[in-house]
Amino acid sequence: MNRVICEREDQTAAAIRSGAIDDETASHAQHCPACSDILLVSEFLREDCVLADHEQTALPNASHIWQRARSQAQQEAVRLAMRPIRFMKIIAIVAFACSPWLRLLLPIGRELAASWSRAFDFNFAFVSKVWPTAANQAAVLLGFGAATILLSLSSWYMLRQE
Amino acid sequence: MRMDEGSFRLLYERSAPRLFAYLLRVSAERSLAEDLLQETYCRFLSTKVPEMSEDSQRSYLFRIATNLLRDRWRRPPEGPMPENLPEPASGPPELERQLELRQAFRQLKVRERQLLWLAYVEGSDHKEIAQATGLRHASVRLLLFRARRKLANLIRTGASSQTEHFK
Repeated sequence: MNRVICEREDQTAAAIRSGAIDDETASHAQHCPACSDILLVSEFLREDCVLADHEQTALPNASHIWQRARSQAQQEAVRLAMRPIRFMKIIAIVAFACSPWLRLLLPIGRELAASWSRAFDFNFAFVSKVWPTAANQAAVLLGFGAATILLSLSSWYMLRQE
Repeated sequence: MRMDEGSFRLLYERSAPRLFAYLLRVSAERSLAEDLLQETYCRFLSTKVPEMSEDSQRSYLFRIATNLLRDRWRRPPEGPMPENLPEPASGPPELERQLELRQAFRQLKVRERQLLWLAYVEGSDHKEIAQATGLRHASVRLLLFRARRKLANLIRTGASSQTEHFK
């Protein structure tokens, strides 16, 4: 397709939009292929726009759209509020699913598991035995850190929603 | 929600007819145009953007509608495209001409219809069209030129065949 560009295209289009086509623009458009296309297409589309206006027998009701938007906003708010809970659930499920392997793989896991077993037997002596070791201090610090981050994230989501 | 119900009603009354005409002509399907109109306003209400002028709101609405149309035509068609536009209410020769012209417009691609409508009905400049359609500013001029040339040829062909028909 050969491209025919006219420097007055924008001027012609602006004249058509304003509805006031001066004689100079009109006579130019008669000889210029690009501008005559603009005139023809604009005239057609404006005619079609008038027809489209007549076809708008019943636009959707504004109240209906408002109610729909409000309902969507409420659903979105609920979804956002539930996000931290979903997040914690996923972490809990993953931790639960991984716990047997952690117990087997990590020495600290084995020791904690043994300690928990003893604790369930009402033997609390494990606390004094387990707590001072460096590995467990690191685990406790890690736990505190993770809890702090998760609590901050949850609070941020909640406050953001409010 | 970004505005109260009264302000929304006012905005809807002022902007919905033009937006619906755009959706109706570009999608060529009344029920789809109605769905997209509703979805456009719902999305508009749910966005958290700063206060804007009425012109900016209007152009933002057209942008949302254009994106929704693009999403729609990217999806595979669910069935044959219904031709459920109402027929123009006028006498036979005028009716035939209108139908032919409308048919000519439908022969264009959706993107071409969008560009032409935004440029020559809404009076958007190339920058605004680029924003609404997601095209590059430089591409709009060329694509608009091609679409315009195509439609002009279709209209001329339609007009000449009609002249022969009435001879």
